[in-house]
This record gives sequence, structure tokens and C-alpha cells, in this order.
Amino acid sequence: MKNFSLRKILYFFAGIFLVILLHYFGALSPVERALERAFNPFVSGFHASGIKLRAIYDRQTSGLDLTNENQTLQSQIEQLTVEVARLRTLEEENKSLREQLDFRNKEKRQLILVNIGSRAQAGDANQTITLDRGAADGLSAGLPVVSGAGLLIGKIVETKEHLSSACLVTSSRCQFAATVENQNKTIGLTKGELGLTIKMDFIPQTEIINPGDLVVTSGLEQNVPRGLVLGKIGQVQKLDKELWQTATIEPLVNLNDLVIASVVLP
Amino acid sequence: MNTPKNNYRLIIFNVLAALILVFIQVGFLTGLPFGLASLNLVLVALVFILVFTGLETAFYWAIGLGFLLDLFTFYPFGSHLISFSLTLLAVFLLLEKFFTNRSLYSFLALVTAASVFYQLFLLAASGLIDVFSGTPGIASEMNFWLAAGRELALNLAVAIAIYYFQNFLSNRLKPVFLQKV
Repeated sequence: MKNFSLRKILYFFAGIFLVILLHYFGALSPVERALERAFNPFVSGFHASGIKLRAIYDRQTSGLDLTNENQTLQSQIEQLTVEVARLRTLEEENKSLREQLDFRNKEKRQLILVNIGSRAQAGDANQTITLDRGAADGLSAGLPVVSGAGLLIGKIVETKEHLSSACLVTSSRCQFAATVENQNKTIGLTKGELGLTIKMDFIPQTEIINPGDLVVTSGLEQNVPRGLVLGKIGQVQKLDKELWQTATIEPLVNLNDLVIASVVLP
Repeated sequence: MNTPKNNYRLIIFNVLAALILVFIQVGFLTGLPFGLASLNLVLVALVFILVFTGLETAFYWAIGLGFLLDLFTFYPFGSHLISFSLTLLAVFLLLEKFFTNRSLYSFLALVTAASVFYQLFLLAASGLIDVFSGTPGIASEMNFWLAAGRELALNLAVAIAIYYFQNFLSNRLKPVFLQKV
């Protein structure tokens, strides 16, 4: 070591351990909070640029399928318009019944808008996102994160003062108590699979579920309200020798293009 | 000239460059498609800083970058600080003892070593800190080793690009032969 003495190296490492110690004793908290606050917008801005590039890439690669997709979407819009009209009528009817019974409106959820600052690096193959709000804003582990359209995208797993980390629904670390919107309101447990789809497990063999059925949160979990949409049933795996049947759920939101999301407060 | 004013300018330039590097690593790269999010640009940059400016400057960079990454990622605090510093030390020893020339192959070997050392140190450091804090370690994630392999491949690709870019800009990496008069 020509220009660098062993003593200097020891000083450097002593400095590093001092910084770590000061962090765990909380002495660095004001500095860390200030830095997090000051630089969060830059991290989110850089992430948004990355997502824009991804969107351009995705558009280029999927350009050929757009015509077919457009036709499918048109027919879905028609079906959904009819569905929305029917639901509006039901909502009005429900509202008037609630008023008559003096029920408190529990459907209004309190949301906190968050920017997605980044996705996790090596370690869990991009299945964790970082949000630019933290414990200081009332966020805590276990709270659900939804997209702009209200579709469930994940759950907060860890919080710092001004930052939070959330696992995506397709992550193996992310589990939800869920209900299939079929006749029997079948319940089960969902868990992400390979970062691509969601697997629903612990469904009794006697239950009848079909591809295309909507899956929502069951509300049996603390801090996760009922009715947040997870996705649609893609495939059902039912083997006679097994105690439970399983289903693959396809998420309805593109988890790669997320820039803004909301956290549902209890 | 090494005046105090120039020194301050140099420090400010280095701090800004480190910040931009962290924003690119944590914000920009993680949004990219095609597995590019696995690229560890910070580590590749550290290896080049070590080779071009020496261990002392590289150590300052490692501390700055490690601190910022510990702040903006959810690894246990200190794991980046420790793993960057130990990786630098290991790569410095390799540079001094084995890869004394500045060929492309030396750089690729150094980046490979740095990627492997970094993953091992990060795993050990975060595992050790996890033991004290009582949370599950990242090595239990199924995709950890797959992601580590992808990171190595991308780091090497970027190291080749930076090497040729630097070669294009200056003569510092070009071989010099002594001729008999």
C-alpha cells in the first residue's frame, strides 16, 4: 500500500462504525430526515423518467397487438357501461336504505397519495417499491397500497420517517386474505408467485370458482378493508388427491408502470 | 493549482456527482425495462474511481455513496457502508498485487471481483445487522442469487462501455512500449 497507510484505513473504518452507531442511537435522525425530505422529489423524478422510458419500450414492443386490444377493450367498455348503470341504481337504492336505517357510511376510505420513488434492487427482483411518505405521515406496516384506479397493488412492509417500502401483490412476501366474487363468496389466501402472477390457496375442494371471477380482499385481515380488487381468476388447479384447490389470479394493473399510488388508511 | 477555492469546488463537484449517481441508481435504473434495473452502476463507478484516483478518494466516495444508499433503500442501515468499503479494500489489494496493468481484461476481472465481493459483503453485513435487529435476512429471498448473477453480467457490460469511452477520451489506458534506441 504505497500511498495509503494501514492507520488511515483503520481511521476510515472507525468513522464508518461511528456513523452506524450514531444512526442506531438516533443521533443522526435529524440529518437523515432532512436528507430524505430534500432528496425524495429528485429520486421520484428520476424514477418517473425511467418509467417513461419503460413505457416507450413497452409501446414499441406491443404496438402490433394494439388493434386487437382496442377491439377487445371496446367490447369491454360496452359491457362495463351497462354494469355501471346497474350499479349506480343499486348504489342509490343502497344509500336511501342506509339513510332510512341510519347507517354510518363506512365505504369512504381515507387515502394518502404517494409517489413511487424506486423499486428494490437485487435481492427480490423488483418486487418491492419505495414510497415517498413514511411513519411521519401516518403510514405503518400492513396498510394496503392501491393504484389510481383503486386496484390493490401491494402492502407496506416497512416504514422510515419519510419513506416506506411496500411489497407488490406478485411478490412471494405479499399475502392477502381474499374472497372470490362468486355465488358462495369463497375465501382463501393469496400470495405472489415469481413476480408475475398471484396464487390463491386454501380454497376448499367443494367450492366452485371459474376463470374470469373477480377476486377482492375479504376484510378478514387487520388494516385491509374488504373489496379492494386483486385481479381476475386465470386458471383453477383442482386435484382430487389434494385437500385444497388453488387458483392463479391475473392482476388487472400493470405493476411495471406505476409512478403514483395511494395508501388506504384504516 | 491547489488553492482552497479549488478544493471547495472539487468537493462540491464530487458531492453533486455522488448525489446524481445515487439518484440514477435508486430512481432511474429501477424504472427501466429489460432487467436493466439489476445494473449496479455505483459499484462499477467506484472501481473506476479507485483505479483512476486511488484508494483515499475512492474511500470518501464509498462512504458518501454507502450512506446515501443506506438512507434511500431498505437494507439494514450500514450494510452498504460496510460492503462498499470492504469491497474497495479487496479490489485495491487485487489491483496492487495481481492486476497491475490497465487493460480491459484487468478492468473486467476487477469488476467481476468487486461484484462478487460486494454481494458477499452485503449479504454478510445485512445478515449480521439483521441478527441484532431481529428481522429476516435478504438471502432468504428466492431470487437473490439470480439477481446477483444478472447484476454481474450487466456490471461487466457497462465496465466495457466505460473502459472504451475513457480510452477514447484520454491516453491513460493506452499501452506504452519502451523502444530501444
